Amino acid sequence: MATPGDHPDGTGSRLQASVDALGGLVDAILDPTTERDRERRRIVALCAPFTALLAIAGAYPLAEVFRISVSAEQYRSVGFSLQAYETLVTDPYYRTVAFNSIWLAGGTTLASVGLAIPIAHALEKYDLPGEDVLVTLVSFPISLPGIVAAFMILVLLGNNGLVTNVVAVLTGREPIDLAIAVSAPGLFVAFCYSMIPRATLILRGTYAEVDHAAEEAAQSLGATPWQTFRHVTLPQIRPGITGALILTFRTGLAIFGTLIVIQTVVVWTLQISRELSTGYDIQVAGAMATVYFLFTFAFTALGLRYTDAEVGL
Amino acid sequence: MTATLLVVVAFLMVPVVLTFVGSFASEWSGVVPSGFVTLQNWREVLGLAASIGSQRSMGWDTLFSLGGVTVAVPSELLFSVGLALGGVFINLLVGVPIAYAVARYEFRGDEWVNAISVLPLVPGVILGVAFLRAYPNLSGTSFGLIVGYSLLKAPFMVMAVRSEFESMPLRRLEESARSLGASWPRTFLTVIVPNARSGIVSGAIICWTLAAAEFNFSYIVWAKGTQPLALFLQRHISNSSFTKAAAAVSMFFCIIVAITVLLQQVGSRGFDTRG
Amino acid sequence: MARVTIDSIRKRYGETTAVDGVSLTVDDGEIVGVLGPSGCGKTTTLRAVAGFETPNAGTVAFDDRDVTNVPPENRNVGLVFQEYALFDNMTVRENVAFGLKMRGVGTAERRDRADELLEMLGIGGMAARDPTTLSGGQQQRVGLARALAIEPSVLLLDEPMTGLDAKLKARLRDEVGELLSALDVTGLYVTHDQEEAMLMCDRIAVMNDGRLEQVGTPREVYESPATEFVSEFVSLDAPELPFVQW
Repeated sequence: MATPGDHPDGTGSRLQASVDALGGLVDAILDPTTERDRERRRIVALCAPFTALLAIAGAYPLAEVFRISVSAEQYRSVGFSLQAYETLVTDPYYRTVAFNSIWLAGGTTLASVGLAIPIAHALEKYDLPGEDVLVTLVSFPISLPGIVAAFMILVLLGNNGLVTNVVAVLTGREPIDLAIAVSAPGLFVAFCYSMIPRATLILRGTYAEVDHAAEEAAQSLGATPWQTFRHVTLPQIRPGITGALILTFRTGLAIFGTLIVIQTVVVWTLQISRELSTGYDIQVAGAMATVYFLFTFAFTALGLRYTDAEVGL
Repeated sequence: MTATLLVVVAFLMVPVVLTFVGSFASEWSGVVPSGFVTLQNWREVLGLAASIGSQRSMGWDTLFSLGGVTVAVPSELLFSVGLALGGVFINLLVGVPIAYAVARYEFRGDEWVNAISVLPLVPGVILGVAFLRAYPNLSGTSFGLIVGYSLLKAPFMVMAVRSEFESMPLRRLEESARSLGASWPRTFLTVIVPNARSGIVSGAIICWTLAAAEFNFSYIVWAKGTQPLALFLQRHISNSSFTKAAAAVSMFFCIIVAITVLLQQVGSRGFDTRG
Repeated sequence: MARVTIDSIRKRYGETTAVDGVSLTVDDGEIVGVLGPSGCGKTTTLRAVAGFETPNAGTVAFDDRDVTNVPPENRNVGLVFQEYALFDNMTVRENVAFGLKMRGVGTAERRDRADELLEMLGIGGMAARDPTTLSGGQQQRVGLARALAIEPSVLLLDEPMTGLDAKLKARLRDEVGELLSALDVTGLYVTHDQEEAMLMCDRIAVMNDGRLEQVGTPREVYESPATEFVSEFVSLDAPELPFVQW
């Protein structure tokens, strides 16, 4: 997928031109004469179902959430008040929650993409025996919801966990003291369980487009494998890595099910759910949803606009 | 590089295997589960043996009765299968046309349309809150869940179908068919769509799997009645004995494996949606 | 078949003018080759005749019927592309019969007509095959049969031989050339290969930079080029080969 293009914002005359163009477009769609008009009508028809779904299931509900978040009353959308946002900004609790979200998603993004690079490299560059199987195995967790990822971590690091018990046997300590599944590090690992396969998928796509001839040329000129990677491969995959960082970070921020099972660190999504389940504070939940949406939208748009990121997924 | 790959594959797969093995154990408190082989966990999860409270297993619904033979299926499974199919149906209606628009035509703003259609715009939790607010009476119903799933999973349909379209000589196909006298809608339905069927089928399977496993949105909006599969899993993971939770999760693995095999049958490369 | 009249058509894309006032008449039963370097506007001209581009100015007429704004599906033109563009979801026979089906011709008649055409093109045994299993040359024959099946007012060929190997090209050229004149097809043959144009076409229109440089018989164009460009383009890697037979 390409980055959003350059559409310089217009001045007055440009606006007028746009209005005229729009009028012309409406005419063309309602009563097409040229083939170009008929094509425009087709494009509109093709985009219409998706647009309708987006409007009904996306835009309108989000607008309603925004509306209640700035309402003067708690359960009805009337008047205007920024009280919910004021709470978010002034209450140190929410700052902690925001901070938790950022470091947890950020840290796991770096770890996951960091691991995904060598994995994608190995899968795309080397002729490994059973490569198809490895690809299937690495891709398998993509279809697992967060709750299952959390369970996988319980199986490894919980009280009954394999790693916990092996370490307990080796060190002679009690498993219950060693279990870290329900702790911040355990949560960190659980996030990685969900995010590594996604990051790998994106980077494999990037690797598939690498120009092999250039790499071979570099090696024939005497570059070591590391030099080749550093000077030839890396510049080619860098936009893909940036894109993977953006998308994986989004994934990390959106994780929720994992936190329902491993409730140790309160992050933004979990807090939204808690606002609803304890006291049904739809205003604060709405404000949090709005902040979340604007934040992810802004950094994705800026990320795609101002870096060389390529989003291949 | 290869070592990293193998370690990560082990990290991802060991708990899966252990869970599956553990689901046949009667006890799991040491390093490895013990007390093999029992089917009790599976029977309880699938509702073939009695269970109570928050460990409640699946109910059974009659699928059809024919000449004294009654075929019943677990209701949570049936419910999720149906919801996910509904979501896929909407995904097909909205995803295939827009994928064609982006792959075939150049128009002002096509990059934005592309970006919006393949990027998951809202996470499940946020969409759940938005649904609760905008459609308080509808959000927890099957219809609400289906519409929510369809929006959440639409990008995967668009990606799969778009990459299939991009591998086809779309313009030439369309022009050939039209020069032969087929109207544009007829061209789209009888030539373009059938030629892209493998991408469409794999997109549908991917969307179905993801919708059947959807948790975040379902958790926020679900109110009462039969639970979607992921909520059923979560209930077991949080409340049941470890072995029984393992059986519930293993049942889910079986579904995913079956779907993956199906995907490979239709010629797609698993979840790799790139052309 | 029909007479095709292109009358001073112009086509702009934003700032660039792809076709700038081209007028050309193709008589009933005549094959006119449109020859020129890539980007000269020859394909745009062909697409305007097919109806996939509506010119900004000028008209296209089949016999006396103005078709400038008629959509392609109502024009009755046959199209053959370099990329074949066969429908992979249908058999070879279904491909050829597709246009007849769109015209509401009955199943049995469609089948007979399709088989007849395939026979004529020397691939009668392939009717039940999946088109993806055919060779390039065979696929191109299917493409031609499919376009001819609708008995088009005009047959438009867009670089149909490009991409085939030289030997096959020579054979196909002879066969197709004979077939087209036997069927009395009105045709517009777009190519950048002058040898192909000279062998297959009754007249040649040389285009450059969106304009027509010269229209004439192959001999006229070769022996008395009207402009510097024609003389350079036609004599470029001057093949004497095609003129031996004269």
